[in-house]
Amino acid sequence: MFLISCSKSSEIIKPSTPKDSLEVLLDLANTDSLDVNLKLQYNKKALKIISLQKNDSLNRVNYFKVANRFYNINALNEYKFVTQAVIKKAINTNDSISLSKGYDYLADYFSAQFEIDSAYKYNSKSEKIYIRLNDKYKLAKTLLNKAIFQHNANDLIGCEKTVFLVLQHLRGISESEEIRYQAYNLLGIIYGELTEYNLSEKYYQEALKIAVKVPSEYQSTATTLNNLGILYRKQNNDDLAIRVYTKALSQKNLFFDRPIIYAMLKDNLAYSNFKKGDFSKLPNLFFESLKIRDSLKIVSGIIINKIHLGEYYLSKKDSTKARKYALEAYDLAQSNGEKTQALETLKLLSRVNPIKALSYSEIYYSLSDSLQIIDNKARNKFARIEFETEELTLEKDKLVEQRKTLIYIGLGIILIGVFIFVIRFQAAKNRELMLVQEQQKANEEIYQLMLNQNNKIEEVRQSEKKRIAQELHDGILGKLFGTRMNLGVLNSKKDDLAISERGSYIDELKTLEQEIREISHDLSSEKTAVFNNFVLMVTNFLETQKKVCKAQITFSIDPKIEWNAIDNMAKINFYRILQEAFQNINKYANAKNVAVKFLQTDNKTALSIQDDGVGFIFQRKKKGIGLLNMNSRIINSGGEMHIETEPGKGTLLKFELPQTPIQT
Amino acid sequence: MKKKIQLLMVDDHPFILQAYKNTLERFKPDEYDIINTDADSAKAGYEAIVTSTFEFDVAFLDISIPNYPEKNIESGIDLALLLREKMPNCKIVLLTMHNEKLKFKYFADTIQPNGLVVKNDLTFEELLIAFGKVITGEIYYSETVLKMMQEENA
Repeated sequence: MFLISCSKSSEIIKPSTPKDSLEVLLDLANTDSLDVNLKLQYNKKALKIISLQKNDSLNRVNYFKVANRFYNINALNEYKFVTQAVIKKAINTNDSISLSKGYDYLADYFSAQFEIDSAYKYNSKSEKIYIRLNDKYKLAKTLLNKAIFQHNANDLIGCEKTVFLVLQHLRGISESEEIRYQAYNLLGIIYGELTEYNLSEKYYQEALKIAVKVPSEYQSTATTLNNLGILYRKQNNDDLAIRVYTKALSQKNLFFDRPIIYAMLKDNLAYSNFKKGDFSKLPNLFFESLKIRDSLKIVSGIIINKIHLGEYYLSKKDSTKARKYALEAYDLAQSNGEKTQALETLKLLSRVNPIKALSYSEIYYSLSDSLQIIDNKARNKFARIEFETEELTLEKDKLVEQRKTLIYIGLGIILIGVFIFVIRFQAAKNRELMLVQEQQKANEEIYQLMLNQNNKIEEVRQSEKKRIAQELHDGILGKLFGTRMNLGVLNSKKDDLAISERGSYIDELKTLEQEIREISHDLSSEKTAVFNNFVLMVTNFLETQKKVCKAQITFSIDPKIEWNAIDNMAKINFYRILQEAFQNINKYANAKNVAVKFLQTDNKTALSIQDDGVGFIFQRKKKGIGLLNMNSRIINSGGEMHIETEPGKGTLLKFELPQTPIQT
Repeated sequence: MKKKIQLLMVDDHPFILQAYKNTLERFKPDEYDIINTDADSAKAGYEAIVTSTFEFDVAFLDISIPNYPEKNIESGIDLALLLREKMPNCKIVLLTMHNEKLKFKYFADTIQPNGLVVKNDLTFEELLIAFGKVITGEIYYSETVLKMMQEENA
């Protein structure tokens, strides 16, 4: 079985510029075509340069570059040295990112040295930093390493948990296919080992789906297909196993990219053929694999290969060869601490050497006891459940999100509604304000009119005074003068004619008395109706209306009305109402007759305006500006408006003002 | 032979014209034969002046009379001006109900009348005196007028 291999050739190689020797050296150290030793030399030179540079972020980046180059040429000691150096620099400058990266590099070093505990330790250190930095991608990467360590330590449950943690962190992070792939692949392996074959197959399929998005040189597809084949083998489905191995082996550049995988596939293919009973390519297929593994010194692979060969020769009844491979495998396992594999070899040994079977069995059981046997049934399902619940929660989140959207839309609509309301409210307020302004303006106009009227009246009064003075002066005084003169003349006469003439002058004096009385009456009558300002205004207004209005206008005033008791504002309002009413009559009523009456009833002074025009539907027009105006005016003066109208039946407007009007 | 005096009287009150006539009948009837011409308005006065075949010797002109806008004759003053033009030898007596001194001054300055009388001062006897003074070429100012003039001069 195979998981991953670390490769540190992910950086972009820039075209070299001769001026920058460091860059040139780094480029050279990364040139595939060059000899390993040459690369080592260039890289050491590069290290010399950067070790003299200031400890800044660029410097640390260069350190990592150098470390990468050492790793890639398998100069692990130099790699460790450079990594430890950069860790120091990172600590000195409080550079968490470089520090965690350094720990990652160190973990890789120990991993390569099979010092799992140390690798695990540094991996955990960087894990903590990534949690602190909230760098989910790198955290996922670190956790994946942790899972691999756990898997290697046979901590299947811990591993399972960690892998699901990896997947959780990767959620929503794009360009994380490689890690995601490895996580699914690892899950497949774990469930295979936990004999959860269906789950195992499911996750391998997931892994295969993602594998195509991973760079082909990693040969992820072949890796997972290999694992899948092993799964089928475990289920004794060798036909399927052979099919996937064959498919895996047909992957492009597989031998070149991943010879270990290639060898493993060959071995596995051979073993399935053997299990199936197809010996046509055997044992050569086993040897092809073994040869590659030997050259690459893949210990565990060699052990498996030898176990397989042992089994093969056992079935061929070649017990010598069988025993030879079994023993070789056992020794290798023992010397390399591969306890699980040692168990396998012991099983084989007891079969190939039945005489010693008992002693092998004893060793087997003691070894088996010493291993932590994982209880398959008691495996912790929580991580998986957690993962699946997470999926549900996600869906729930989606629903919540949708609900949120709905709420936002709702809120938006409400907000817009409020806006519209406010705007309309403001508009209405403005309109009201304008109405008030208009009314004020109208009031001013009427005041002006009243003032003009007053002036006119004053003029009339003056001319009347003048007239009276003239009459007194020229008329009565003249007559008196004439009478006096004549009586003076007659004084000198004592005849009868003179006496009778005197009598006529005395009569003349009586006429003069009468004339004086009339003038006096003229003076006192000034106050009354003829000179009443408001009545005059209304009369004048109706006179002008008679010229404009097509209808016949009749006008009457109840003489009982005491105009002086009605305050000016009320009069203005009456006048304005009259104007408004006539505007309506002229515009709409099409009336033949209009009757305007000022009436005194009980304690009310009323203005009624009746026409025999078209009338209107009160409900529809009651909000009309004209009617509103009239209504507001009469209400302002403490009175009320009554309207009687119907289409075709004319209109009666009645405005009643109580006797004690509100002073404004 | 009695001396003939042509008299023009303009006043809108027939009463007054009658009074003048009645009074002047008593003025030295042995010596003078007074011939009256009446006019009750500016128009009648104007026509009397322009159509007259003889010159008036004396004119009694009331200042406040119904005017005659067609010929721009607003008052007795205008008639007096007309007379001064047409009949320069005519003695003019202005009579008025008014007693404002500014007006008297104006009358005196523009017309230089032979008589200026405030009607209130006038009595039967006083009119006879005034008439007597005017026909002999003296200037007659009635009592109020004299008083005003004195105030003015003082």
